[in-house]
Amino acid sequence: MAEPATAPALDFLEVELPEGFNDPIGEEFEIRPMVLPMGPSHPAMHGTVRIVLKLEGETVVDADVQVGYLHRGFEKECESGTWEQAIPYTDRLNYNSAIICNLGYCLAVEKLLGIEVPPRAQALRVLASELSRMGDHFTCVGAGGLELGAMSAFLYAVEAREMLWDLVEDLCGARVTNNYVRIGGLSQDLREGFADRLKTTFAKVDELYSDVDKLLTANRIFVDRLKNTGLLSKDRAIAWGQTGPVLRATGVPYDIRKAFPYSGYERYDFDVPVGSVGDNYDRFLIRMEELRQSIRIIEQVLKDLPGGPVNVDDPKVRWPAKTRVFTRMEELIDQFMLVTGGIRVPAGEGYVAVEGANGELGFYVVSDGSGHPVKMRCRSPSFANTSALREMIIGSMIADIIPTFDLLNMIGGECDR
Amino acid sequence: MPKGTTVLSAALDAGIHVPHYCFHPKLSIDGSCRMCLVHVEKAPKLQISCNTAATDGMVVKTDTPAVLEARKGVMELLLVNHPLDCPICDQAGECKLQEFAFQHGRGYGRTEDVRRKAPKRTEIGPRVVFDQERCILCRRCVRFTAEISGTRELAVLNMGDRSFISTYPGQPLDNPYSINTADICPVGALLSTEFHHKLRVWFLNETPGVCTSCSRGCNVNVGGYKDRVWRLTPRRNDAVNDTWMCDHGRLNIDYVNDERRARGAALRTATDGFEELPFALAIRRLADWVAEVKAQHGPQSVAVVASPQLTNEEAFLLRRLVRDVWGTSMLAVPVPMGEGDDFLVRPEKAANGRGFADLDVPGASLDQVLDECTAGRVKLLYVIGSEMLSVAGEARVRRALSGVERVVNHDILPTTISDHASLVIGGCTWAEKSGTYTNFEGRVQAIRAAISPPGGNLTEGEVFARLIASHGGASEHFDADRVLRAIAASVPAYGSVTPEAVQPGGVATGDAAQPAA
Amino acid sequence: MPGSVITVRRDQAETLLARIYLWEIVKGCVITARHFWRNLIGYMIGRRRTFVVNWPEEKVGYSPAFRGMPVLVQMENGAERCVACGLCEKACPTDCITIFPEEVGDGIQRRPKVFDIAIDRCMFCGLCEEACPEEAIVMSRRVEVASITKEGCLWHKEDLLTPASELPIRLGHIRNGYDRSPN
Repeated sequence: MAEPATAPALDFLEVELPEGFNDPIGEEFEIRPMVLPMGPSHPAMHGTVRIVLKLEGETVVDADVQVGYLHRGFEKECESGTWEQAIPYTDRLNYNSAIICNLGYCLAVEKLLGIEVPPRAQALRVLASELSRMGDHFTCVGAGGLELGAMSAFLYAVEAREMLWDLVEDLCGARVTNNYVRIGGLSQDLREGFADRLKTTFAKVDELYSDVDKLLTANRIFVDRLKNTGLLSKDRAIAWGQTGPVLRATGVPYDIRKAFPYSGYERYDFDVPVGSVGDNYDRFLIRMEELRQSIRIIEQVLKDLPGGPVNVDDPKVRWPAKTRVFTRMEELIDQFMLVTGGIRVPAGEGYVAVEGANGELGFYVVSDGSGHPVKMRCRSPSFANTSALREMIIGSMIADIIPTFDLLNMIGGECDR
Repeated sequence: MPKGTTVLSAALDAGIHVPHYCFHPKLSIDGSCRMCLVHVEKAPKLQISCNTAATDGMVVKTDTPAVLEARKGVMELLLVNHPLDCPICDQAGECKLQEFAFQHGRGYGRTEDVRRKAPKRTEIGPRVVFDQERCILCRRCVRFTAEISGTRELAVLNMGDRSFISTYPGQPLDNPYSINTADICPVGALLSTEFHHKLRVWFLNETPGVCTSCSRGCNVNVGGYKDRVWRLTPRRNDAVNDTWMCDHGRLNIDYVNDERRARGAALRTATDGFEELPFALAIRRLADWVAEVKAQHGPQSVAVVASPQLTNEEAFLLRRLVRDVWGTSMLAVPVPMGEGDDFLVRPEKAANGRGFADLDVPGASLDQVLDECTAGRVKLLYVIGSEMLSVAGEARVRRALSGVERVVNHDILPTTISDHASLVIGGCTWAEKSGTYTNFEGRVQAIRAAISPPGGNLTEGEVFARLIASHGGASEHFDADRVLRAIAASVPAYGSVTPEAVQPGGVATGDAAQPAA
Repeated sequence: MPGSVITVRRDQAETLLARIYLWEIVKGCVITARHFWRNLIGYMIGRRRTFVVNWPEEKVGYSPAFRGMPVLVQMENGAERCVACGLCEKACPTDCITIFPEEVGDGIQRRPKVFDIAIDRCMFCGLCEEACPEEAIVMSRRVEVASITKEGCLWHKEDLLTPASELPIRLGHIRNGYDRSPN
């Protein structure tokens, strides 16, 4: 369809026929649209989303996007523990790029505390974030290929993702549920030889990336499925509150790493890809290009990685070094007070947004001066992106829902929290 | 404020935080810890606020750089020789050294030397353990034994950095208030043996309540976790117990956690066993028996012996049940008596004897009831608690019980009385119910349920309310606040007692309402 | 701030070769064939190139920073290093650790009378290891802890005790690299 359709004002079981439509059968039988629930348990509905479709043949006449199947009460859960205990929970928001979620939360709390982490910590945070982002984008483009039938592309993309996750495991100990960023720094520093391991891994990742690129980007079948499907205009995208690759596909060059730089992003030279039409093909191409840009950023980070500590030098904020906890009285006391009572964050509220793989991932935290958060709200990019899904698929065919939904990259954990 | 009030007292009363170790509101001023240093205008050096009298127009600053630096220095010196015991020290979680080191300390240790070694975990007394390495020599314990308990067991021996706290040979820290030294010790040097290495204090829910071992009603905090009472610690109430309580009352909590606690209700079978009965049926059975006995032999053949550990609300309902609904005056409330002393311990060894008297509950003395039982004129005896065993002696009670056809025992643990009982109903302790107690002076103080009763037992108040309802009264659940308001409305002496006024320090009635002598 | 905005090229499928599509098929086959032959030959000569690990016959190699399930470190004399301080219990976000302390011998030391970890609740985050002031609970490399009963997921002290000699990688990681800030 050339134009994005706004929601037709139809009652649930009625259909409006165009004028002059000669419908001999319909005059005898009542024609009603078919209701097809594209249920939460569906291979294409990753993250469990239910789309109740009202179909006229293969055309989607109306759609009811029902999210919330993965709601786990993340925001309430964080209120029951201390500030540090919420970090493993933020991993489970966007589990494909967990470090970015950790980072957003820690930045929000650090804003309330009014502290700034050392430059090495900032650089490593950028490095880890970009590795996570690459993992997420590989998943998205690979799954896009998979659902449209290009299974080999998927396998190569997740092979690349596996190698990146091995690097992340080397960084912090876990591939997916990272728990890497801490309030006031990082959980641990780089191990010896990380840069070399990264270089060897990136050689293979580059090769796999170009394989995926060659298989998909110029492939007529793939492109025909994606071009001009899932259209959303710039105004509508902004009205729906979309951010990230989906918004940039419509031509808006809004990237939080450029607009409100955090953690030292302003030091690195990278480009922001935007699209022109706002369809699935633009989103796909943007994600491929962002992969290249992430590699660029990582290379810059490693080239001039500053030395120094990875934690802020504040015994009231960051758990002391282990060797000192074993041997010094003050540090032992600090460890006890911080673990049992939590970091005493000054009363106040603050919002920090980072560029997640899907857009503006924001954390709004409220503190009352104690060691427990009073309120922890996560502004989820997937939720805003998915809210426009209905508009994107009305008027299109069922087959167009698949690439649209996939390239939205709705991550259930982030959307439903 | 009165003349002579120190800067520290004034600041603490006003809610301003000034760290201190050796100061205690109920002990003499020591001035040895130097932690409360503040900046007083016109004084050349920092002054200790615990020994500086507040004067008119004095300007005191507690957050100048000099003050903050002084606190850091004092903290560092206190920690220089302090052992790295936090993981094994019970005080963690309520340790003043940890709190002030975190808030006011330097944050980094600078010493690498070996710390001094001293005796650890010595039995300084039968109920208190002493760890000399952890002691920061604030001398609160020494002043306590000198001024409060008067027994003077503790002293500071040697001088300078070789000083240490010790007892004299052959004279351990053994007075009836010894565990208070563990309360006031700001670090984990003095600890209660009973609670040693039992549980981390951050798990305890501290519910305000009142000790029930005698009629003084010392205010306490009941430390409950996972439906057990782990410890009692005294709560400050300047009108009742200052900040102290006796050791006996503090340790008298084992029966609450006893495994043999009566759970639910049971009916004696023909073969002399016990079969379990749901609570509702047990209450119905008791009501039916009372009606039966009254119809056959008249109301005076029903007798009730109640426990003075019941709350005022429960006593009020019991009076209505027994005197009005059942119509018998055979209601005795035996109060066990023992030794008192001249400080906190009272001779009445039950919490609410005065409450029962104020509410005019007893209708007969225990002797009268027991005589009637022995003579066989009582056909149904409802015994709540087991105080009559210690008041009248087991032999006499046994004789009395054997003369009664039906004995109903409503208690928390099995006793001789339950051996004779036809119906046993599981009761609740003070830790599991909410209500008020009246202490010997007439001060009405509140308790709140800290843990859930075992076996889903209903509280005695709930049982009485249901018994009243089963005899045709309005069916309502027991609500302690509502009953308290009813008491205030009907008993003139308790007119000012409301659920709000009773928290946290109690309401004085009767003698307690007179100004303190 | 360096960097610019670039517009993605949508015309990559418009070239003649792409439109014919035969070229795309050939290109795709070349790529997949390359992977196929590389993997096959590698498998035949013994230098495997696939990313597949035939678990459980083969195991994945983990990095030294890998976080498996938490275990209690056992000293040479058979006793646990743990003194039941309760910090790991407090640090755990999922409340999966239950500790009840008791006195040891002379009463100065303490050890856990009960130390239970509910492995089905544990999320292997490692906060317990970070909190421990005694190096007594560490993240081992065990992850194969599935059970078909709920009771099988409750690990008691005896199940958790692991000799320190079996945990050299993790203990080395804690001491050397965990937090190298100079303070």
